Amino acid sequence: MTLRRTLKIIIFIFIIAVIMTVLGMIFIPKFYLSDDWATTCTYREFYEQEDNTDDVIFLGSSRGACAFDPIQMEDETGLIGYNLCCEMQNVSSSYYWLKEALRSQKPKVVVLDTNYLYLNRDNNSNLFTEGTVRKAIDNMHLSIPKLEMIRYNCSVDESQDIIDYIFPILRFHDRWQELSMHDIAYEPSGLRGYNPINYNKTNDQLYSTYEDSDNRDTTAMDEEMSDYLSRINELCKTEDIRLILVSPVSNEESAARHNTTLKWCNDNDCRFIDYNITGLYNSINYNFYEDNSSGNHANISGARKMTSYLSQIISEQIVR
Amino acid sequence: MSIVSFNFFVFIVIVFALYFCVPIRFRWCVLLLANIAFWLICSTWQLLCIALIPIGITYCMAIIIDSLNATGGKSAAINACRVIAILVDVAVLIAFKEVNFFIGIGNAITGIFGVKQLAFITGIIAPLGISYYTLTLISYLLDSSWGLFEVQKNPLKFLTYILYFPTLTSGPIMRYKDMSGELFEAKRFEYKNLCFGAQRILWGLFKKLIIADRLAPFVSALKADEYSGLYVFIGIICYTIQLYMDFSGCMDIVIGASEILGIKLPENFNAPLFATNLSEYWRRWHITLGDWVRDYVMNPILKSKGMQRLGKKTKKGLGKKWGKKIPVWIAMLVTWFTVGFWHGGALTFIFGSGLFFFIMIAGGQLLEPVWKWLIKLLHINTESIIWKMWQRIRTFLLFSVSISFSWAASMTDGFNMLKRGFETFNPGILIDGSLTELGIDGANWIVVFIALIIVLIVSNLRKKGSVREQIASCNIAVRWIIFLVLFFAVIIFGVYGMGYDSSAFIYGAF
Repeated sequence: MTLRRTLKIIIFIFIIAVIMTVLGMIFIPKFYLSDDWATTCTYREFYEQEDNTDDVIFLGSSRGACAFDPIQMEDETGLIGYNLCCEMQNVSSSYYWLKEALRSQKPKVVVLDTNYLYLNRDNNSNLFTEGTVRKAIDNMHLSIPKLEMIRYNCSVDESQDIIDYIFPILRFHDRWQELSMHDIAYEPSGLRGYNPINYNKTNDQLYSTYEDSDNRDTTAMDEEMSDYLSRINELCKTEDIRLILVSPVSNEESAARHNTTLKWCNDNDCRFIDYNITGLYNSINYNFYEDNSSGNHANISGARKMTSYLSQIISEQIVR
Repeated sequence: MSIVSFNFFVFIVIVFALYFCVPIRFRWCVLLLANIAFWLICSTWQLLCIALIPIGITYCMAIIIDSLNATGGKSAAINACRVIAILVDVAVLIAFKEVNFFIGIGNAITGIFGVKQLAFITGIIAPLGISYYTLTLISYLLDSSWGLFEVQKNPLKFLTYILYFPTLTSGPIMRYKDMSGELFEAKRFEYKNLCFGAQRILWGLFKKLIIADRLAPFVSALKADEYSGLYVFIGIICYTIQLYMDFSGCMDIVIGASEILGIKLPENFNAPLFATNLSEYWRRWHITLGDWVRDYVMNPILKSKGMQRLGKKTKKGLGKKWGKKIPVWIAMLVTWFTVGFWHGGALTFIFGSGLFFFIMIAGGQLLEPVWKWLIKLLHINTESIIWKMWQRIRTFLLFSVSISFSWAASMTDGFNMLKRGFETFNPGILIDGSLTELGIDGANWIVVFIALIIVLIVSNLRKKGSVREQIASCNIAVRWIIFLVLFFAVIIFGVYGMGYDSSAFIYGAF
């Protein structure tokens, strides 16, 4: 085959790849502040930051996304943070996002929400679906961490294909009927990943705090999530980053979980902040029925309280 | 591994790379390895071993027949070898695919005497492509015994031919004398084969993923008893379109994949929707099957001494014109029964894919004087465009009615479905939005119609010659725009992805 024909084939394939990539960017579902969770804003605006400006990075599920406001943190302490939490971000996704974040940032502290440490792929399959994983993956730029994340997720869920992640148009092509300006015009939030919730629907929820020494019960962490927690810890140690585990106010937390997480943190020289401990809960004047939007998520009022406390801890005891 | 899956295209790329990297004289070995790899990916080594039984016996019998022919062996011995090989081939096919048909017949007979019925056997997994390679084996055995080509003595080359991977799941049914040169003779890489093969695959994906699979949920919904009147006929027509787009799309992918390797496969479709009568329809639809039953069922029956004697008697009794039709009709009856039986060992297939056509074709010939009289009476111009259009529409509708039996669960269901079609008069469903509530909404119907128009345009262009050659004569910008639009039409509007079963080729069931 002549050089000319070879070049024609390469150029043709290149054109296809470019169009596939552009179509993928258009067809990927977008989530802005007008939707429940502004996941698209979270990740797109992360990449718009200047390099090496973040002092604190938040990782974890929606609990973390609505509980910690980096802008408030900066206002109160001068610490610059970015909230990379998103709904149903499991610990493996948090790990790969940390790797991705470290390509452009050098934070001093990583704050990880503990929600997924006790969730299991078999028993909570609805929380590990392709849709939940894609919210974390699809907005990541193509990079080694992204390829590792894709390979891992395809290995644990054989129904998924690597090619569908490399070219999201293959996965979202049937959205052609749903396409709207929402998919083309970007709606920035400017909230550095924070997802504010301004309602309260906790009337029918039950909640109670627990003491630090309520009992000696423990509950095992999920093996897969625990493995990725260890990897996050190793990565933080390698990069000289302090790792803090946090449990925002939630009626899914328990003394058993607290004890297990606390032991892990003690064994690994990490800080653990559990907002469900009675003393801390009361000290920040938290009221579950006013400051949470649901059993598991803080509203704006609750986020202010938890952010303020955490910012103070990080500023006074960890960074300085 | 479905032939519309990404894995299949990766497989083709790998085979293509290996095929043209090895020295020419070893390229058939790459095909053999590809055949075995394809089999082991799609099936199991145990079923491969089972498939090797009829393949091995046919191979051995062909060599024995060849040596008997060479040494002037007795025709009885040669016939015995033919019979043994064909019986083994057919017996294995029946054991895996058609055994329930015979159990059903046995139960019907023993039921008369009140004898206990046998249960139908379920869950049989047949060797990959058994319906197709069985016919290929029989054609090889008979053609070689008739001296049409020199028998293949290399068992590995024989295996390469029989199990040629692009044709395993859906045909086309190959003939050794056409394929031996393609598979075993020196082939240099040709850029045109690569381009044309890829274009053919793209066209197949267009038909399969945009039209056939988009119609599937609608067609499936209309099988329910609650739908009557125009719903039934629209369902029947859509099923025929779905079947054609599915099967011909599959053929395009298979032929295109083979063309990339420089190996030409026989065509299996020639614009059947433009046929003006059912005989012509079957000369344009599943061409290799039609040729097979003509050469190995119909012609041998017609040329047999018994049929020749019968023909002489019927010509004496009924006159030359009608007398010669009787042996033809008997041969046709056996042929159409074979076609129907091959499609599936159930009455719905035997009738819908076989005997219905015999009734229509023989009936049409019987009533030919009546049609001619009517045409003369009504002064119909049989060369006019309107008459040709009428013939095409009538042929398409008759074909659709026949095929609807293979859509139904049983003969009773098939007839009940047709009966339901006449029970209600509901043309309002065409405009009141009812058709957009059965798996295809308005936007998707528009996609189907536009895609069908494109297929029609391409079919018309084919009358002037190869469409790919016509496009190749345009300048590069036009060519690339056409293929990019086609490619991204498949990417965006194709029905594929998670939750979609890419292996559900209708004809893959055979």
